[in-house]
Amino acid sequence: MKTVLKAEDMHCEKCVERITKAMKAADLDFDVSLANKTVTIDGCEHCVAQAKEIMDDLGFEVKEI
Amino acid sequence: MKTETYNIKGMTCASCSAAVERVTRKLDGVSVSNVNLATNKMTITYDEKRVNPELIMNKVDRAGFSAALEVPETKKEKQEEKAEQEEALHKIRFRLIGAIIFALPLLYISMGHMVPWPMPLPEMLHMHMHPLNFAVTQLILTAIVLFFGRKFYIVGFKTLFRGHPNMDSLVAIGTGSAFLYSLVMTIMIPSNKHAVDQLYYESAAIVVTLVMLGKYLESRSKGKTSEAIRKLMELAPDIAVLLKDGKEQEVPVEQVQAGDLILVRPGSKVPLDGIVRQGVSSVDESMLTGESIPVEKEPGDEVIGGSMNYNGAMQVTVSRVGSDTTLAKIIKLMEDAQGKKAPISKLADTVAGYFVPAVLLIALAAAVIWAVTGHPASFVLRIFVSVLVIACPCALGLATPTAIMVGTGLGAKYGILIKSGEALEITHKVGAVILDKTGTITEGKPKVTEIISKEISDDNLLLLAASCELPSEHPLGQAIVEGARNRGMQLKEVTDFQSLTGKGIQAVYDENQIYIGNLRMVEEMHFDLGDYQKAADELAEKGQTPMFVVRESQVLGIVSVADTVKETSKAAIDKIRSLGVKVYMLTGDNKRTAAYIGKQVNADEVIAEVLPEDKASVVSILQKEGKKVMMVGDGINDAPALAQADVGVAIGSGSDIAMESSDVVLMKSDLMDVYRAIKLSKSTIRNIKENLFWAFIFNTCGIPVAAGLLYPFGGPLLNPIIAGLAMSFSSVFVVTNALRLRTIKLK
Repeated sequence: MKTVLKAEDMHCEKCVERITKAMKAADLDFDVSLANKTVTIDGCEHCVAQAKEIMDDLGFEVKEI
Repeated sequence: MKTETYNIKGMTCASCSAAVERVTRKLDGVSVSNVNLATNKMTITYDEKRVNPELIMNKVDRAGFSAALEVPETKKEKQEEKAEQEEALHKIRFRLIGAIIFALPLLYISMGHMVPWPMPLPEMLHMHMHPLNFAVTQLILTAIVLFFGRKFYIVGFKTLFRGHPNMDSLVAIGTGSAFLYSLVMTIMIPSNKHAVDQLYYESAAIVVTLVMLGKYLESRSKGKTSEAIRKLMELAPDIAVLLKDGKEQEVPVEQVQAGDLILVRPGSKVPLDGIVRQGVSSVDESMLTGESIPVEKEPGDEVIGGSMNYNGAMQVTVSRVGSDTTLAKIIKLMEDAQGKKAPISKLADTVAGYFVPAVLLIALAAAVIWAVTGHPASFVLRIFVSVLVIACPCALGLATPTAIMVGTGLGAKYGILIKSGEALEITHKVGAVILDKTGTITEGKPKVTEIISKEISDDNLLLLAASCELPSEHPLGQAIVEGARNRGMQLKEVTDFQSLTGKGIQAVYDENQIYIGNLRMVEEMHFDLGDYQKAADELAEKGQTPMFVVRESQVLGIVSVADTVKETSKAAIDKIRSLGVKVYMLTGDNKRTAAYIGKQVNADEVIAEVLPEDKASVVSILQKEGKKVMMVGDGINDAPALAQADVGVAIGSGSDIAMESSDVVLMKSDLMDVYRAIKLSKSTIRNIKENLFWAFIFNTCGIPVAAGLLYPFGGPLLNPIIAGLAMSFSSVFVVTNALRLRTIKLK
């Protein structure tokens, strides 16, 4: 199941780098798009909740779309 | 609550600083978190019981950045920083000179034949006889110039590819396009010699050189804006003369401890804050307080580290060292003020953030429109490059921070320390100034104001009263003692001193029983006041406290004591009013005394009989009326009101608590500085608005002309070289305009 999280505050490569690093550390299956300002999570509800928590820790406000 | 500053690493854009602010603000117990991307610093205020530095650093770390508690820079570190800045400036100058050396012959070769009296050129470089030589020579010269300006391309393209283009991106794309187009034309020359007419090498090289010149002038001027802090740093001497076991020993100031005794020789600087133990001298504190007249110091007086000792040797017991010294606190305040963004600065940042992508789109759109309407590629390129170059928002980005740096620096020169850009900005909107009476409008120390006696001379009455009051600890008694000492009187010893609580004192002087006290004492002891009753009533009307001096049972006269109005208070209040601000006087005194003082200083309104704990409520009542309120006070009991006010001003360097709660600290006890602070704020904000206005006007007028809007109507097109020159000029203009603030007179 793929869930798309929209992060309006994602503006630059540095943001992508931070997200990638944190998601990898949590062993999540994900894809980041700077153009769409989204993070797509491939996994269960628990993975999505974990991803949301990570994004929150990184200082992003996310919306599930 | 505790406020700390952290150095943040890893931030590259406004989004990063917003992320750091957001995660730290989420910590339970954090009330304020401000991150400045320009200085890479975070100022955070938190409840020590719920948050600690470890938690903060951890939170920032989890957000993908790193935070370290800021350690105050030592003088040596500041000097190293200065040396680094000078080296960086030297490098910029070296690159600029290199670029100019190669750009000038390029300009000569490419454009020398276009002037009315064609410049001589070797035949082998003739444009039409040897077009390839002509083009290749320009190519080589341009490549060297662009090499000197390579930073624009490295930074510009890097940020462009990251999706966050900046001003360097505009220069890089504009001049890069001109260079690549010319390169293609050069390659085409062997097959089509008319391609030589479409070379734009000189545009690329000259634009880069001019922008480099602009950046150099800008860096040089920006260095001057932070000079105020550097000058303050240089005030503190490195060596102190320590007095130990009767011997003098020169030691680095870092080794001196609070409580040590040091010697300050004439003509040398006071190394640290302390109390004079021995010796008398004049000390110049102007660099710290703005007070131009040297201050006389004698045993018991406080001296400030960094001030200049003129004519006498003094032995001083050190009271504060390191970051606790007045000078260190002033430097910290100024650094914080220059690091904190003013709201107006945030607006400029936001606008600049949208500006670059918008300009890129405009340049592309203009190029496409001219191309589809059938104009040649050279024409399209000229439009594209001109728009990109003239639109560079450097001036917009510089407008606010440079003015705030110069403004706060100028304030410090007058002993006006402004703690944040925000305070500097709000101050100009102030509509009501509340002045606490005691210590702000008045000296805060009672003084002998009048002596009335029909029985003995005034001097004898004062000598008698002061001698009897000598053992007293009451402020009114001390005022009488000081009054006599100021007149050079030698006080006599008394016996059988007794304090009459709430009434006065009694003592034996020259074998006579003396009573000194208030009306209550006179009435309770049934002394006959006679004619003195009327005089006493008149004194009370004037807000003074009459002290009756009685020998045995005969009233000898009155020594009247009052808290006197400072010399400059009335003139300062008139000046404040001239700025369109209403002046309120706030006091705990009774209405009669308050009205008298209020009338003396010409306050617009007097609010009397206010308890210390109610001062903040008075501020909030005025705020509810829609006024921006400035509260000026000097004491601990003013702290809540200072914090409640839109701008809190601690006067006379104030108590530590008052300083903490305030936004502005006035080093001198002079109300004229309140006027100066408002005037400084007004001048700085006007300067910022001028800067923003010119930066906006320049860009908004320049872009349509560069895009060729006037061309179809017979109007001009902008040459990229002119666009580059104009863009550099706008940045230099903005910084120079900010530096102009240094020349305003705050009188």
